[in-house]
This record gives sequence, structure tokens and C-alpha cells, in this order.
Amino acid sequence: MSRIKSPSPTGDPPPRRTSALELVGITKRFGDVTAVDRISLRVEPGEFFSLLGPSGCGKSTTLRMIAGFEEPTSGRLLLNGQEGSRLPPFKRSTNLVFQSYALFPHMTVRDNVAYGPRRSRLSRNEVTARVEEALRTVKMWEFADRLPRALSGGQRQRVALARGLVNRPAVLLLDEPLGALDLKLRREMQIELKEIQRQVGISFVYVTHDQEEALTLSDRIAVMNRGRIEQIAPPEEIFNRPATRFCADFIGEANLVPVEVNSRSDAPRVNVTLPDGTRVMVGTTSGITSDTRRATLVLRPSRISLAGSAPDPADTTTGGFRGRVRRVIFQGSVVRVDLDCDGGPHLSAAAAGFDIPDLEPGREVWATWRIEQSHLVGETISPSDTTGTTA
Amino acid sequence: MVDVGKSLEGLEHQPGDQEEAVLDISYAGRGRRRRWIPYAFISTPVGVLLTFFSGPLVLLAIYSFQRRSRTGDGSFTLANYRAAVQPNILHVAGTTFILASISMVILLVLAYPLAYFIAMKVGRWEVPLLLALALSDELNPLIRIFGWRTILARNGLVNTVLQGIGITHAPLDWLLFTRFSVVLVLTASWMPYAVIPLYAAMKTIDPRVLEASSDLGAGWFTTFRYVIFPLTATGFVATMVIVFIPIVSDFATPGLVGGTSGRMLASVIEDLFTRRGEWGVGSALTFLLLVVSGLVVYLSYRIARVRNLDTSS
Amino acid sequence: MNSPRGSGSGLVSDSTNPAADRQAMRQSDRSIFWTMSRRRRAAALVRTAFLVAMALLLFGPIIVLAVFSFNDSIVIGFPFGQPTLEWYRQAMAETPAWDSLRASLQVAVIVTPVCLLLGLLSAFALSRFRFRFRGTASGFILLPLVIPWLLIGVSGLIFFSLLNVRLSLWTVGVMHVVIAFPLVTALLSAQLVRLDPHIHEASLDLGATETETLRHVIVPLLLPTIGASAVFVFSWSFNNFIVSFFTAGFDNTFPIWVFSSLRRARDLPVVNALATLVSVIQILLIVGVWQLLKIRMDRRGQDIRDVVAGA
Repeated sequence: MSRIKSPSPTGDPPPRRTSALELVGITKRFGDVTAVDRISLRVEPGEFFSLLGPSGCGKSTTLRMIAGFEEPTSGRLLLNGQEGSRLPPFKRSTNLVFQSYALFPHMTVRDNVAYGPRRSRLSRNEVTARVEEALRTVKMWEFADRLPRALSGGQRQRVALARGLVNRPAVLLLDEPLGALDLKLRREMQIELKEIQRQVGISFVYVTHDQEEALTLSDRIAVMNRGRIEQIAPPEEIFNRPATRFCADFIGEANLVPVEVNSRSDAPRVNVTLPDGTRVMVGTTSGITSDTRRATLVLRPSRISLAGSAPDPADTTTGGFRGRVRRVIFQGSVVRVDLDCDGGPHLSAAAAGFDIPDLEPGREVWATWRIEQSHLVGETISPSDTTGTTA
Repeated sequence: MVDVGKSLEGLEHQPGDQEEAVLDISYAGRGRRRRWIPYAFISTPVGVLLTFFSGPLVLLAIYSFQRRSRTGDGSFTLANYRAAVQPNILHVAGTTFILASISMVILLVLAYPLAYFIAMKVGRWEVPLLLALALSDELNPLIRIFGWRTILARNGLVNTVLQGIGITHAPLDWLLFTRFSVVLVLTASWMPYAVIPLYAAMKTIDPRVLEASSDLGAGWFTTFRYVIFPLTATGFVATMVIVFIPIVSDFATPGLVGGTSGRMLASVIEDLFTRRGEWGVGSALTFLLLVVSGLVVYLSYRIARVRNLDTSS
Repeated sequence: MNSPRGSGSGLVSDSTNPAADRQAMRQSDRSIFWTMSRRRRAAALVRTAFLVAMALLLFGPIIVLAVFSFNDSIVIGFPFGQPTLEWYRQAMAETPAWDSLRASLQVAVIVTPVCLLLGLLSAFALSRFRFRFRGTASGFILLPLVIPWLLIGVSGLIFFSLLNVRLSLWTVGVMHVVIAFPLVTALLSAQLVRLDPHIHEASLDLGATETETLRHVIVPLLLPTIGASAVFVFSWSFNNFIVSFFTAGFDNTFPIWVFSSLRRARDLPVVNALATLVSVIQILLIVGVWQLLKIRMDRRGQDIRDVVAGA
């Protein structure tokens, strides 16, 4: 899970800057179907912001409302502080990069990129200069006189990006722009996209269903599910302290263990009972109130170690589970071990290697974790859901 | 390009109306004042058709029910229709429908494999062959009829060659000015009209379906019977209608290569209007022709729907 | 010649060199023929024979005319006499024929742009807007395509005479517009709904208004289809016999002149020379225009087969 570091716009908030984009309680209904349900978010200038969620979660509709192709049923949409939900797309300071690129097939790369600046009545010299700058930014200057059909998928993607950037929008919207590329090219383009974004300093709103992509690129991520936002936070926080069970499940792999909450007297730490009756402390929590009784423990496979014997009961910094190896899967850079644990749950552990002899199905092992790396969300899971990991 | 997830996403912002095939781009602030725009666009073409297409057809219908001559009074009558259904005209009508049906069957029998080959079998020759078809449609049909006459005439190409190489000793008389020549020329003239819609129907078949079929061990005939034909059946019925109507109303072909035995209804109508000056009877006959061919079209579509072939068009 | 599909021809290639692609395909086409089983080779030969027979059915008559237009015999048949240009010389002096040709050209030249305009307007309304009477209007506009031309001609004759409009090339032109512009509507609508909606949206997104989008994106993308429609409409008008026959009055169009000459069976070799001349010019023009359109459509990533199949 590599992540490209960038100066993130945190720290002391300045005396309320104008956000590049702000949605306040935006709802979109199609007939009886509510596609987007009262979502609110702010995107700061220069921020790389992702909308992440599965197909049909409303992220594309949200993007199309920002671009102006759908009008919100209710709610406010502010662009640079100005109300903009009724503006047609050609009057908005946003630009959209389509998944299919939607390049004009009858125009050269140069004319495609010059299309926007020409519409805004810039002088000819200004247009030429901007087009060259944009094409050089995406390293496509040498291809300026080609037609789109003479370009590869990755090259078309760059042209589509340049065509949006050249207008210097307040927000550049990207609708799964890397979705049509193969995995290797996609990884390369991710790094480059981030470079370009930092270089031009324009806010990006990036729609994707690929959680790894969102974690890699974003300053902040909004996780969407069924038309609602489940969590908005920087990637580390989303990964380490998911706000909901859905976030835990959707982002990265997670073991989800149903637990009972005993007390939260010595807050912030909470004491829970595992299915096998063991009591352990939990590192961090989300959505736990004083009357939460049942909750879900989130354990990332990469944070689980295996041991041949039980952890020392006196050691309060480690939680543990007894289980039997179900299978050992070699996945290249990591080895994954699936366990059947006492009390029912299935766990997965993943590491470059496990320092245990005879690691094969049926062997009894202990799955242990450092408690500050465990997280508790205040939602339960149905028993059928306890299979553990989600790829 | 098309992945399932994306199509699902697509569903949420394009509710319904997908089957209507309208590319109505909506966006914020588009407003209601745009409602009149399609009417502004459509009014002129519709106006032209109302005036010069529907108008004349309605007049034709009225005219056929009127007593009219240079001194006539224009009152209602069925006399034109009584005159139009005389035995000798009915006889020609019978011939017309028989010849048209035979031509149509031959056309379909030839056009179907031709469309199949062009659509699926000829690789890079596909576009040239298709354009050749379009080209032949765009050449003058009367010149083509003239060509057939020179080929089929008593002292024409076929007869002189046959006699020259000694196969026959006297010219064959049944080649021209017979029902044979009418069917031959009709078939050749309307070939592009039959092939192109069939081709279009075959092009909608995903080639992977055919590969799947042969991959599952189906032979050529099985693939044809259970995959290609069902998928093109609607196009097949449409093609029947598309070629039957112009064939029934063609009078250049029977007029120039039909002689007396190959006389067709359209020639009678032409005669009534141009030489005999009997416009009333001519209109009645024309109107009957419209009703009958309309009925043929309607029945074909009904049959197609009953057979549940009406899946797409 | 006739390799089966699947020699890579159907696959999308990401290569940037289409010429090399075609070369490779051609070679694979050839080599595949000889590696096919005997049965499939026989099938390919039968197919070729069938295609040749069909080509003869379609173009044979015109080829025969062309060949015998240079024969000095008054009888069109073997044995071939002396080659001669006599009939062409006489054809030059055939004034009624040239008048009829000029008339046909005049009509077609006026009818074509009118049809394109009406077709463009209606295709636009029908395929880019949802409105109340869309279905009805669409069915009505396409109706002339399934009504026999005989009916349209006859009803036009009655219509104009009842209104006391003198039949002339103008009335011919009006009826040609009626039969031909719905074809343009059909061709253009098919191409319009095939355009990627995201391309339209991209244009709006980049700051172009609807009018600018129309001018810079939609119309340029439709140009090849408009060109193809023009070829069809011009040919339909130029070649039309049945409708012209009833609505031309004392004026003659070229097809009417051919019809009456054949009826009277007079000066057939001269008719033959003229017919050959007209056909050759038509073929050269049409093939030229199609080739041009194909090149332009290839550049835009459009497929000329869609245009022809829509006809």
C-alpha cells in the first residue's frame, strides 16, 4: 500500500479560506430512487480529493452534479464560494476528464486541447502558449499533430488530462480516468497524475472504485455507499481508523470480529470480549457510545502475527486468539494464512514470512496483535458475514 | 471500453428512455424555454410532407370516389371501383402478385447468402462489396433494363452466342417479353434493396456468438438454424416488405421487357392515366393497390410478432 | 481471396500503423487459403463463384452495353463487327437527349440541398430531443420510404392538376424532395444516435454553448454522412423514373427519354452510347465520392458500413 507523500493542507486552519468546492446537503433523486442522499463535503484549493465507493454508490452522479450535467434535487453547491448548482456546464469553473476520454475524433491533439481556451475568447498567442504548456506538462507535446485514433490508451488519457488542465479550472473532475488502462500502466499513471497535480496546484476531485488508487493518490478520501458519505478523512485515518464497518471492509483487507463491549471506563481505551471469551483492550474506536453493547473489531491481516504458544496473559499490550490453520496461500511477496479460531471467527494473517515450524493445515497457532493496532467500530455484523477478509 | 460496473453506474443517471434512441443531453440550467426547439426544427419537414405527400394521397382517395370528367359534377360514386375490378384487370392483378411473389422469393434466396457472405465471410472485401452494392443501386435502372434487353433479345447476346456455338439452331423466344424476363429483371434490379437490410440485420450479430456456437460443436447448418436465422428473422420479414412493395408498383420493367404476357398492374395504371385518360378508374386502382400492399405489410408484421420474432428492429 | 473472418480482421488493433496492419492481414489472408482443409477451400471457391455471379447479375447489363456501344453493327449481338465511335458521334447530335440530361441534372442539383436541409432539421429534432409527438413525427417522416413510388407519382399528378399547377420540372423536383429527404432523415438519425454522448458533454464542459458544440463538434462529425446522403439523394433524383414520369408534363428527364426511346425501339445504338457515357460518368463520380468519404470517415474513427447499412 504505497502512498505518495505530499504536503497536506492540515495544521492550523487559516481564518476560513474559501473552499474550491463545497457541497452542502446535496440530494439527487431520479423518480423514486435516491441516488445521492444529503451529502456535504469541502474541497480545499490544491487538494487531491477522492470519491471512493462501489458501483452504483452515487459517486458518478455526484461528479456529474459538480460538472453541471445533473441538477441537484436539493442542497447547495458552491464553487469558489459562489452558488453554482444551476449553472450549465459551459459556465462553470470545473472541467471533467471522462473515463472514455471523449476526445474529439476529428481534431488533432493540439485542437482538442485548444478547444476550451478558444471558447473563452483568449488571444491567439495566449491559446498557443497555454496549449503548449499543458501538452508539455503531460509530456504529449511531440504528439500535438496526431489524431486521437493514432494514440495509445495511455496517451489519449494524457491528452484528456491536458484538455482539462489547460482551462485552469477551480476544480478538475476525473471520472475513473485510469479505469481503461492495464494494471502496470495504471500504476505508472497514478504516480504521474499525482506529480502533475502537485505541479499545477489545481484541486482534483477523483472518482474511483479502486481503493488502492484512492489511498495512493489522495490527500483526503470520501467513502461513499448507497448514496451517502460514510467517512471523509486522509488515507491513513481511513485505513487505520475506519468510521464504519463498510469502510473497514471496503478499504484494504480486514478481519471483522464480532465482540461484546464490556466497559469504556478507562477511555479512550475500551475493553471487549472476543467470541472465545477472552477479554482484550482495543486501540482506537469509532462510533462507540456509552450504551454500545455489541461492536465489530477490525484487525488488518498485515498487523496479525502468528505464534506457536499463547501470549503472556500479563502482557496487556497484545491481544490474541487461538486457532487452527485452515490453509496457507503463497501470494508472491506475502504469505497468507487463514485460520479457524475458537468461538467461530475466521482470521487471515499476511506477512512476508512466518517464523513458525510446520505451518500447515490443522496446526494449532496463536494469532496475536498489538492492541494499539486494533480498531473497534460501533456496528455489528451478521453471523454469515464473519468470514473475515475482503480482497 | 464497456465494463459491467460502468454500465451499472450509467443506469443511475440515465433512467429509462434508453430504448427510444434519443441522444438528449441534459444539464443544469437547461430550462423549460427549450421545449419549443424540437418543434421549430420539425415543423418545416412535416409541413412539406403534409402538403405534398399526405395532401396528394388524400386527394387521390377522394378523387377515386368522385364522378368526374371534363364536364363531371364531382358527386360520390363507386363506379370507378366497379370499373377497376373488371375480369381482365383482375387477371393482370393475379399475374402481378404471382410474378412479384416469385421475384421476391428468388430475391430472398439469393440475397440472404449474399448478405451473409458480405457480413461474415469476406474479410477485407466487405467494404468494397458493400459499396459495389450501393453503387449498383445508384446507377440508372432504365439503363440496366436496356442492358437486359440487349442481352435477352431475339438477336441479342444470349441467342447469338448460343447459336454461334451450336447449342441452339433457332433463337429462343421465351427470353424476352415474357414472364421469365420480367422476373429476371425485377430480381436483378431490386437486389441491393434486399441485401442491404439483411446485411444490416446480420451485422447486429456479435461474431463471438457464432464462434461460441461452433466452439460448442455446432456445424454450419446448426449454427445457421439456431443462431443466425432466429437473430435475423425480423430483418428477413422487413426485407420481404421492402422489396415486395416497389416490385408490385414497378411499371418500367414490365413495360419494357414484359410484352403482353408479362403485363403488370402498374402498367395498367400507367395506361389508364397516360393513354386512356381514365383518371377516376386509375385512382381507384391505385388506391386498391395501396390498400392491398398495406395489408401485406401489416400481415407480415403481425406474423412476425406472433412468431415472437419481433425482438428488435 | 476469400479467407474466413477471424484472421485477425475483426480484432481491434492498437497499432499506430494501419498500413502495416493491412499488409500483414493481406498476407495472412493468402497463406490461410492454402492451409485450409480441402472442404473449406471448396467452400471458399463456391463462395467466390457465387459472388462473381451476383456481380454479373448486377453489373453485367451495363458492361454489355458498354462493350457493344463500340460495335458498328446495328444489331446488338455477336459476331462483333468493326469497332467504331460512330454511335458516340451521332449521340453528340441527339439534342432531345442532351436536353433531358440537362433537365435531370438541374432537378437533382436543386433537390439535393433542399433534401439535406430538411433531413438535417428532422434528424436533429428526432434524435436529439425528447418531445411529445416525437414517435408520431418520426413514423410520419419515414412513411414515404415504404409507400410505392407509383402512388406518390399518381397522387402528385392528381394533386397538381386539381390545383391547376402546370406540370414541369418544378413539380418533378417537389415530388423528388418528398421521396428523398426521408432517406436523409433516416441516415442522419442513425449516425446521430451513434455519436458518443460524452463527446457532446465534453464540449459543453469545455465552455462551448450548444450552438458552438453544434458548429465545432456535431456537424463536422456528421459531414461524411451528409456527403453520403447527398450521393444517395442526387442519384435517387437523377435516376428516378416513376415519379418523374407522372409529374413532368411535357418536360423530359433523362430516364423518361430513355423509356420513350426504348418503347419506340428507335436509334438503339445511339441510346446505348449515351447510356454508356452516363453510366461511366456516374460510376467514376460515385466511386470517387465514396472513396473520399471512406478516407474521411476512417480518420474520424467512423465506419462507412454504418452509413450504407442505414440506407
